[in-house]
Amino acid sequence: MSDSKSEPALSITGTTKTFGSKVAVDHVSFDLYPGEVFGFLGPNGAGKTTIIKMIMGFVRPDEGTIIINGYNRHTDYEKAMASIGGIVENPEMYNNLSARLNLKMYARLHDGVTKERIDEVLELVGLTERADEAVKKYSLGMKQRIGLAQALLHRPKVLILDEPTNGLDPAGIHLLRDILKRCAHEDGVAVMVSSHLLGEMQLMCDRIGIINHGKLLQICTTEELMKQAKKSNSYRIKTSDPKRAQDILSENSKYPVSNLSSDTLDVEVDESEINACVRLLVEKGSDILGVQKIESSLEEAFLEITGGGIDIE
Amino acid sequence: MNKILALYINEMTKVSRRISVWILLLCMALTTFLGPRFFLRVADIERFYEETAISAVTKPDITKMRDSAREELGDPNQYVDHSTIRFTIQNEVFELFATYLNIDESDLSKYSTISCANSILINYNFDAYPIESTFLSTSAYIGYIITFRDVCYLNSVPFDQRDNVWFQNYSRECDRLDYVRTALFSHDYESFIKYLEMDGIANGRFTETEAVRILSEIDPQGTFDSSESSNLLELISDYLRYKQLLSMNVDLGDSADSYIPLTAARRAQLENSVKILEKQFADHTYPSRATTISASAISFGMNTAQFFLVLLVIILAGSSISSEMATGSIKSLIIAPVKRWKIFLAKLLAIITWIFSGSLVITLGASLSMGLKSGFSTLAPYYFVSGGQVRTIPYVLFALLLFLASNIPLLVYVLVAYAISCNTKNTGVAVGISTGLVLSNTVTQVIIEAFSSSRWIDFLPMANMYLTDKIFPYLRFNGFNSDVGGTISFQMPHSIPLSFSVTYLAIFSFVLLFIAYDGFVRKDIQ
Repeated sequence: MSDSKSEPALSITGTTKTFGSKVAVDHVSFDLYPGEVFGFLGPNGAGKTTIIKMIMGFVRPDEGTIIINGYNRHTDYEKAMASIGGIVENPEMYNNLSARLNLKMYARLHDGVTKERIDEVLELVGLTERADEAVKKYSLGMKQRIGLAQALLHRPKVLILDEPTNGLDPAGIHLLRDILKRCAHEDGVAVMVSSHLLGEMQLMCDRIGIINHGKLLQICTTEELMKQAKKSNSYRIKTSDPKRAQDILSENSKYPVSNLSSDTLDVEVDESEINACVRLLVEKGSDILGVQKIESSLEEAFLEITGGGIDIE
Repeated sequence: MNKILALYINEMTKVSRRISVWILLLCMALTTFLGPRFFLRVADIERFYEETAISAVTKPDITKMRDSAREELGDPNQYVDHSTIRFTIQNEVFELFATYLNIDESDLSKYSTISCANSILINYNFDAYPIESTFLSTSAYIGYIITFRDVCYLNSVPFDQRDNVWFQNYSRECDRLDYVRTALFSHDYESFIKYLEMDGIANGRFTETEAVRILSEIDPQGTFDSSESSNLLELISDYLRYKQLLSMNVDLGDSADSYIPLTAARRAQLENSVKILEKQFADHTYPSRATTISASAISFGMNTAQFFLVLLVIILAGSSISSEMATGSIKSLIIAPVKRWKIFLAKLLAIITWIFSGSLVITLGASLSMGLKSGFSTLAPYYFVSGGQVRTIPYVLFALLLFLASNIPLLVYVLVAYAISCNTKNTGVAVGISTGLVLSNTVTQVIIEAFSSSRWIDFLPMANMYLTDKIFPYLRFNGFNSDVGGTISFQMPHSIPLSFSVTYLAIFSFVLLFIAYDGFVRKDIQ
């Protein structure tokens, strides 16, 4: 869980990046604390990857500071980067080399990564048996796993994963979720995950930052976001004549109706008033075949925050 | 520092896992080892020398030659007439028991052949030296035949037409005949030189006589064969020409017969050359024919194998960063806690290591090949002058340095490939452009020759890349010549000072490095 009293593992302040005339990242600031899983949510082209690339040293920010584990990434590059691990976009390895050799080479660039540690992370991601095969024979899911192994190899304080569930099978996703949670909650690693798979984020993250058009729109805990989402709960009412039911409800502006189908209609109504709403329909002679609560998700909250989600694929 | 080392080890690991690299290295090793032998076979130097050597010089040959001439001419004595004639020269009376050959000019050579052959068959010691075996005996043999014929020709002048001029000619030719006879029959260099000197008075060939005199000092017993001696005579005539240029304080111009004032640098070079040759002549360490052939064969092997080296390192440099950008594997380098300039440097160092490794393979391969074939003694050290003293660099070190020096253009091409590689994801473009540059050498060479009198060509990069003959100005004195590095060599019609070329190259390389650095270290990676 986030602990605002501890020092942030990653601190980003006023980071801005412009490509030509397009502002890709616009004064983004946020902190990432040890022991939390932070979800970075935004539609494609929102600037998620650019921010991650700035943190990981691919892209130089035009403005702003990035502090990793207390080291300024600009002035103390190697020390700052020693505490970070991650995957940017798809993990890419040297395809003609084995996974083990890839890890061995990566380990050379860090201090204190032992041979045993390599075996350990291979075991962790479940690749021990195929570790000596050339990476080019791997499936995308396996590449994700080896990418994760590489990211975890040097026991980073900050772990940044860009779209980590891409190409993973359900078992892989489950494993990833377990590993990330264990890293954060047991080892105190600050984990940051970017994704547009909202359900996944809901299950994985403690805090979520929402970004669109290069601007960080909101940061809140997953619970807060869920609460925000629950405010606009709706119910699906099954009836033989939805049109008539709509007419009845339209007379009462308290119950906005949407998604009319041949035998259902959705009503936006709070839990406390659904009883009154159903009673109104019954009183006016509409037959009720069923009432079902539509579980609202992050998705809708997200669409709302990002302004209709025009950019969502 | 240890981060750079780690990156460097990773680079070497990656490259060494590529099969294509080992195939190219194997090609390099094979061509460098087989190249020299192929050269010897194709050039067939030994046979060439055998063919130019005189034929029919054994005892049976000469006997056969005499007998066939005798068959055509009949008894030679029938043409001979004797008389005593008198000459008065400057009031002094000379009496000469003279011979008259009453014979047609066409038959004169047959007569001369018979007499000459008889004389050789009686007097020459065929057991001591076969005539064709040494330079001295061969030259004296030819001289004897020619001079004998000259005397016979003078003897074919009727008694009443022999004037004082004839007498002077006759006296001189007889003296020459005496000298060359002694030279031939006693295997005596001094007499041969006296013979040549008299010839020199007649023809103005002082240099040749002087050269043979030096040759005789190096080989007083006259044991050197023709090819060894002509090889040495070439060096001696160079030595004499240097001395002549120094004494006249002039230098050879661009065209054959033009002379230009001697510059201080050139004077020093000529003086050093003279010093080196004098030492080599004194110590018998001048490049022997075997050494010269070895050096040519080694050069050939190295030049051929260099093709694969060029291919290898241009592919490595061209793909170095671009292919990692294209496949995305660069990510695992960027994510690592290493500054980008260290990645940049480590990759460059790895490429340079391959140039060195390839050079080592090529140099050792060619040298080993010739060492095994012609003996390791034919691999001569490099002579140079430092602080007024003649010094040497051991062969293996020298050969490696020479080959590395010949690869300076390759280093420039590698920087070009690297600079492009740092600025594109397209490996093909990086490798293609750099290979194109190497190939364009020939075209540029033609352009240079078209504008050979202009000075602007001095400012072309290619004019300043090939520095072998400037770094090793005394290559000739250990048998090598400046065509080492033939794949990427470049000949300038006029010489550019080394300091200019080095400065130019430094600036040029810096610009290329900056373009590379700017492309990879300073730019964002998308």
